[in-house]
Amino acid sequence: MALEKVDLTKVKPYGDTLNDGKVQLSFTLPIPYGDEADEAAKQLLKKMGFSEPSVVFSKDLGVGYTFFTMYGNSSYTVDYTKIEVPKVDLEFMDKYGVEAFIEENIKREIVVIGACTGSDAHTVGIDAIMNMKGFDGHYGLERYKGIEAINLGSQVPNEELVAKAIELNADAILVSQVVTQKDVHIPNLTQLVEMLEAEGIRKKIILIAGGPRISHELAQELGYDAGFGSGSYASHVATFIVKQLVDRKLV
Amino acid sequence: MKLIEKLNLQYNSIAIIGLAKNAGKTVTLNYLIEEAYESGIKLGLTSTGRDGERVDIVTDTDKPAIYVTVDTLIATAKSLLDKGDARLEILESTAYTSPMGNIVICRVKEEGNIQLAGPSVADEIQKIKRKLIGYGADLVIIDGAIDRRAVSSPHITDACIVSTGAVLSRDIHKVVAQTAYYIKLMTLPEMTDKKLKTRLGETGKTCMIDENGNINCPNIKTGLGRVKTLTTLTSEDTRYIYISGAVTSSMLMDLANARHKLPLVIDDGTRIFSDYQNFNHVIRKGVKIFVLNPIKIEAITVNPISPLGYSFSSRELTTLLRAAIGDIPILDVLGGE
Repeated sequence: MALEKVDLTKVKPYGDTLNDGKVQLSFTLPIPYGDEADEAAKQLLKKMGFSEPSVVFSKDLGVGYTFFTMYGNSSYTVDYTKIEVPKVDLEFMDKYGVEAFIEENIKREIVVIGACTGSDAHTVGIDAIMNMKGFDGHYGLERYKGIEAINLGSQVPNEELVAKAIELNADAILVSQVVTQKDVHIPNLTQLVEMLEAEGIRKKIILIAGGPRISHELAQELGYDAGFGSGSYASHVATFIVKQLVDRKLV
Repeated sequence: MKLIEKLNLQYNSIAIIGLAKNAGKTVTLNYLIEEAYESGIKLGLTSTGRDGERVDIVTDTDKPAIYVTVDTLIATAKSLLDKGDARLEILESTAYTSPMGNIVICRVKEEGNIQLAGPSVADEIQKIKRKLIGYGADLVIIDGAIDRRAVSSPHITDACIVSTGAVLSRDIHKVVAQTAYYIKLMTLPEMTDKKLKTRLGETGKTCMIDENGNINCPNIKTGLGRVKTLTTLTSEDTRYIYISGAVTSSMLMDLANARHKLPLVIDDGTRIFSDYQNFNHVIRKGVKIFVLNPIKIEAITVNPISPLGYSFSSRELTTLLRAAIGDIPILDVLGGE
């Protein structure tokens, strides 16, 4: 099947045909269900730059609120060829590569502590990286020879994490933040950096943040050494840690 | 006298720290750059985060550019050199790294915009600061990141400017109370016993001090969460508890609930991690806190506008702040009041 050629400098959403700009949205408006509500939702989409807005589903939520599912055509395009996303720039090794690297260059067991900090109880991210069985066919750090991986679990206060890191002479700290509404994760993440500074150990620790909405760029801005988002595996994190330990002469 | 002239007379380095994101640190930096240009003061600039990019990566709001004039010295990441339009001469490629790559020291040859990203580790910032002074900067300004305060520690910089603003809270009184609290932390009273101060500085470990000045260091790796251990080791003779690292809310509470309410000694105000309700509660219960190195605050800048879409009257905010914090100069660097 011959596909139409895509102009990467003007990328638009694809619905049924190329460049139709078709988008599906869903949202709630704090107004009672009815024809006026549908019209309000359509007008809102127009203001958002969508042409031909249509309500494909609306439902009364009670309490005078209405939920909508809408279609509309986006009139905007993005230039895909100009996009640059800062990423952890490394050639990633697999588990066996990391293990060999530790044996050859570090020559001791390294200690990695992981936790979901603050009010966050969503351990799915940190578990995927730490747990022995791993995730998506990639073993977690607990299974790595040469890595002592300690998972402190959920809702760990920063002070407990820092105290544990000092007690165990940790080489790296992994912090997972899944709940990021209203940017609640930001002050919690910077507080950890500040606490490590106050304890005088920031320079000795590889500090890594992870989570679905944590980018490498954001993590760096917050004072972390790296950030890993969705689609990261234990081997990525492990590669970064062992290479940093050598680069920063923390072996 | 201009603020920058006053700073330049007294100090080699200052930090700009924000009490929150979008509190106006970069606007404050630009204000000082402009003053320095008018007064012929050669600045050295670096940042603990990233500055000068046009869009904030957390809140997606517009951010001010950093415009520098000829002969300004900057320390920034190599990868950011081509992001601005100022013409730069590279003086040195340092061994220090920032999250954006190696730090280079440059002299501005032709004015224009730059992006700043320095090391995020406070120790390295201090070394970069020395290099900038070595290359001839009269005054080094270090722009803090987000709400991070570590660079204001007297170990790193001589004095600081605090940026606060509407972004802290929708309630103007909360903005004032929180700002006043941080100012109070940073200006906690200095330990007056000079001899003991020197000795604690040398010891650098969490310890108890008795009335004869004897120092007793318990065998613990960190004071974090160990206040109960410390207080059980105190006796009638103990005069102070010194904690060499961070002091958190729960540790303050443990101090307040101890049998002997001993005064606490810490390095400086950046070591306290507590909200103001808890801190005030502990102070009311009679805990006294002294610092080895007080932080000098030379000015407070206010940004009465929040990127979240609300604002306060600049005059009202300034007046309330003045009543709450005493005689530190307050500047609205946006409105110029």
